[in-house]
Amino acid sequence: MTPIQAGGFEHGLGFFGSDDEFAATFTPFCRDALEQDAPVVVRVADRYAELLRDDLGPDAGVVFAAQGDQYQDPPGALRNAIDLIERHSHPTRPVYLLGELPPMTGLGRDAWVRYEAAANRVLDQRRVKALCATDTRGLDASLKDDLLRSHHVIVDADGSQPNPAFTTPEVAAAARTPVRDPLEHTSPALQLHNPTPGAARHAVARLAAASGVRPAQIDDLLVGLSEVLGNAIRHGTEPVQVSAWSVAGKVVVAVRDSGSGPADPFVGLLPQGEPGERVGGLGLWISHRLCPQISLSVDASSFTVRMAVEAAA
Amino acid sequence: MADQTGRRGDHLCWAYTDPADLHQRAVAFLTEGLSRGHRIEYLAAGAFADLLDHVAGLTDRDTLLLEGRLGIRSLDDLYGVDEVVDPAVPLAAYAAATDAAVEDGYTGLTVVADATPLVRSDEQRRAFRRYEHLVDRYMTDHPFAAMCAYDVTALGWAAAAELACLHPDASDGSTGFRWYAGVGGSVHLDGEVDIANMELFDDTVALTLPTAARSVTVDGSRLEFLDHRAMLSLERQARRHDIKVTLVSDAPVVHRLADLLGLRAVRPQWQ
Repeated sequence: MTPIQAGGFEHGLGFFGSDDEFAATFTPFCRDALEQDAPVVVRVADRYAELLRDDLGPDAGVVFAAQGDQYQDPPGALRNAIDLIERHSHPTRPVYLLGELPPMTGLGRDAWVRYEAAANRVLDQRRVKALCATDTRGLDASLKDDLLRSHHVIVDADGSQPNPAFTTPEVAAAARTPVRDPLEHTSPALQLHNPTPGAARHAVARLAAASGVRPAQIDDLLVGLSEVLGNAIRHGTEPVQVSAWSVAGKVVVAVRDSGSGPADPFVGLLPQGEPGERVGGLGLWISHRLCPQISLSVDASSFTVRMAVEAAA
Repeated sequence: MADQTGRRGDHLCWAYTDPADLHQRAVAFLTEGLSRGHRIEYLAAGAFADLLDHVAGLTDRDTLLLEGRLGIRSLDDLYGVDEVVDPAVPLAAYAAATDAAVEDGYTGLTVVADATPLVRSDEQRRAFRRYEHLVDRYMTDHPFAAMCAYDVTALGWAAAAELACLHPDASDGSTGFRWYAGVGGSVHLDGEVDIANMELFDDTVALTLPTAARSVTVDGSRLEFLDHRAMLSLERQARRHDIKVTLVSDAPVVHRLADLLGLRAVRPQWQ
């Protein structure tokens, strides 16, 4: 394994395609920690935890943490990761963290890919070795490329090696594959030109009422819409266009302005300070917390935020 | 007119562009006052004869006038040109007039006032907004009702909104939110606050937030939307005065945002 710099954060991407490979890839990571007497925290599905317990023995010293709602939203997950690290930190040894990847589906993939890159910036002074367990079965090639840009090392059943595709967090975020919702291939049910936030909320609420998505989720979407549209009005460039799609079980909104978007590639993801001290970025942070199916994209002439809510399957 | 809060209908803001329409509505509002047994009064700028004409639609107008049940007064006789009104002065005058009406055997006093000349400048408007909130609170426990008319063609919609938002009821499109007095020192917040009217909300709260008690209840039972800036505005202002604000609302956004923002001085409460 690549030695980490003192005080540095090492972000590994660990691949597996079967239960056997899972044990072969991740048991050595845990053993490495235990041999150094370093704290090791594992947060994976129960069935994978069982595989590790079988290999390491029941009382090896690994902390198995409940997955819970760890990946409810990207900024919350970053905060949780920092809390977990602080709880288990050791005066001289790095904390070893083994977890599964966040849910890289729908528009949320965009936010979670940025999250993986943001972790390198936020945690860069922490003594942490994190390893993201990645199931190669059905892994999308473009997603794999996105993930490789944000992980220092690659680990598989054959061992660990430096990742030549790794790049800076900012470049990794900027180079990510654009994500679209399939509904965008259809005509929007609603298009508003330079609307006020109130007019947009009311129109989307009316449209979404028949979608079958839970009212609480629609409320969250409307908060996100209002915040994102408020940003477009305040910081973006006219014209501002709101588009929305609604089908059974799903509502998608897109807010596009003619500006270049926020300069910070991690806007909306990073933990915030005390209330009252906060300046800027809070609207997108709230949108990411309430509506984790969110993507940000910039092209030559516009900046677009897309958000979706779906009925539980 | 009164609903469970006992408020809507007793303090109405009418932002108008058509004087003829205003005069019709003034007559309707005064007629309602008569039906409640109130003495009524019409107040606007201009000559007495013109003001008399404005309320020509009142049934038995001249008889009411002769009986002393209808009063008509010109602002020109009460205030100087461009005068900045001391909020306590008209409040005291209306309190005295309400008492007098009751002493004379009426159940209270209903007034229609076109106060446009008193709110033309920023300074005038700022003083008058304080008065609007004071008189609004007075109405919560006194038999006094008022329709406050403002000429949008003279003031513009933004200036009219500064005044309209301080009324429990306001003409359509004049304001997105309403911040008005409730019983027991509470305040009501109705409607929607977002980036479109956030600055007005912040300023309105700064002008009128009751800070004498350690805690204030804000009744948001008709609150439809409040964005994070508005929540933080309430939080900042409550902290500045070292008071707690209980925001009563069933709007999910209030509870979601208070939780996310980690507010301490503003406490949301389900109804």
